[in-house]
Amino acid sequence: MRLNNREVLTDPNLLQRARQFDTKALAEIYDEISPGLYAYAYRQLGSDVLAEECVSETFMKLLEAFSKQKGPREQLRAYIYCIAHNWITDQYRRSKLTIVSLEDQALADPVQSTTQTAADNMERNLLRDALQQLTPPQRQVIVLKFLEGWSGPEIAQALKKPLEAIKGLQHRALETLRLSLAGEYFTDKD
Amino acid sequence: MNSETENHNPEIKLLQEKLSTVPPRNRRLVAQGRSRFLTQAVALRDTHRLPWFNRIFSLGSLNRKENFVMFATIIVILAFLFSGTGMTAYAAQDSTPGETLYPVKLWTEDIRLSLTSDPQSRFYLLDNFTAIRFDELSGLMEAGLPVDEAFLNRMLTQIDQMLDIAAGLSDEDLEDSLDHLRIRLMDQDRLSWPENDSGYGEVLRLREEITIRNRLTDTGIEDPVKFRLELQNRTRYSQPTDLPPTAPVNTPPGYGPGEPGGIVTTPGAPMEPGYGEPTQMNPGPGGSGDGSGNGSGGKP
Repeated sequence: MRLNNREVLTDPNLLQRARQFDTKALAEIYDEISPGLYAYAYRQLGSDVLAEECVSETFMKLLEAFSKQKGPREQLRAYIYCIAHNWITDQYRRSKLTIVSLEDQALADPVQSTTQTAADNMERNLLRDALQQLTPPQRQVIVLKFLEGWSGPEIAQALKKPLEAIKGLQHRALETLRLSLAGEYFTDKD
Repeated sequence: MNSETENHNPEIKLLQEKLSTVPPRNRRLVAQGRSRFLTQAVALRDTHRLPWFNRIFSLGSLNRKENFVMFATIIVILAFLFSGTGMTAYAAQDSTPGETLYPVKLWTEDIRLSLTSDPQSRFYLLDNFTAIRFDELSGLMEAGLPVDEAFLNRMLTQIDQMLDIAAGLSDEDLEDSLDHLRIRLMDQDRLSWPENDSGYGEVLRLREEITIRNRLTDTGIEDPVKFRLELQNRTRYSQPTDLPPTAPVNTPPGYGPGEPGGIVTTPGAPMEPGYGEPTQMNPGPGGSGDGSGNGSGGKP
């Protein structure tokens, strides 16, 4: 199965073997997809522990789907990212409160002052909150396109929507982001 | 909106600037997550080897009334037939060393292991069991309870089985497996090891044995050929790895002449060359006492 140029799982039997719980195939899939999935989760959650939890839960759900003879027969990566996306959405819904990132401090320049680090963390959390203001499909389009680098057709294929619909989602998402960040961010910065 | 314009959009620029960077993953968490995933996969695969069982007991099928009636009937029949054996095995999963049901727990582990033929699946299953042993050991030490020698021997035996399996894998898989094992052995760091020998001499020797295996694991990651050679040399002086769950056994001695020996009850017991021959049986609670329960011991 080959989804597109991002899909590096080139062995056509890989998914079939994974569906039969072949550990080697499953390990290959895990090793191939989990690093990108972790980054995807981390960018939205800002916590390495939560991001790892997201990866773990996502792959457990994949196994659960396989055990019920469900789950993807193609487009494995897209399927996995959709599970993760739902998990992240639920995580925000459950917590209600903003997920405050402490781990982001690890990204800070060691010579930066504590004040600067705190300001950076606040900015990141502000942006994550702004992303959460979007509808789930809008957020998925924005994150996949601008943070994960997926192309429009790739996203359309993954979300099973026409390309025009993806463009519409993107347009509305950018409008919402502009409004969310205008008062909070750009008035001070620009 | 074309791509060029999009990338100059201030909101997008801000998102990319602030959220693109991701810190490196914690290797320990990665290994744990991977292990959990593969262990679960093995468990599910074992379940799926019984398709009729799966069909009857799947949650979806229970939604239908006729299936529910059939399910209930089967449950009653099974309960009658097996007189609670399954429940006992299930209940035993939470038992700890020294408890009545603990041998049942070990027995179910051995059954699961014997039903698993794929080497990598066996490796991850043993890894799961080793993690359980570490948890149990931690519990015993925190509660100040004595640690049974058979328990320690079993733990080392499981680690040795993992090393043996890893040696039989391709170089690439060997490296992955040993890296995984190395991280698993780091679990010992969270144990509260006793500072002196008082009452915990065997436990301290276990620590030494784990350190030896840790070194061997490091060797394997760096040089698979040397690892296999060392393991082969060790095996010549070692004990069998497939051991009964409840009978106390000898710990495999060190990895060759000059290495410290295992947790052997009688000091000075000679190490017999040639593998597959148990050198000594240690009677103890739960064991047969005379070694007759050691039928599965020894490699061919």
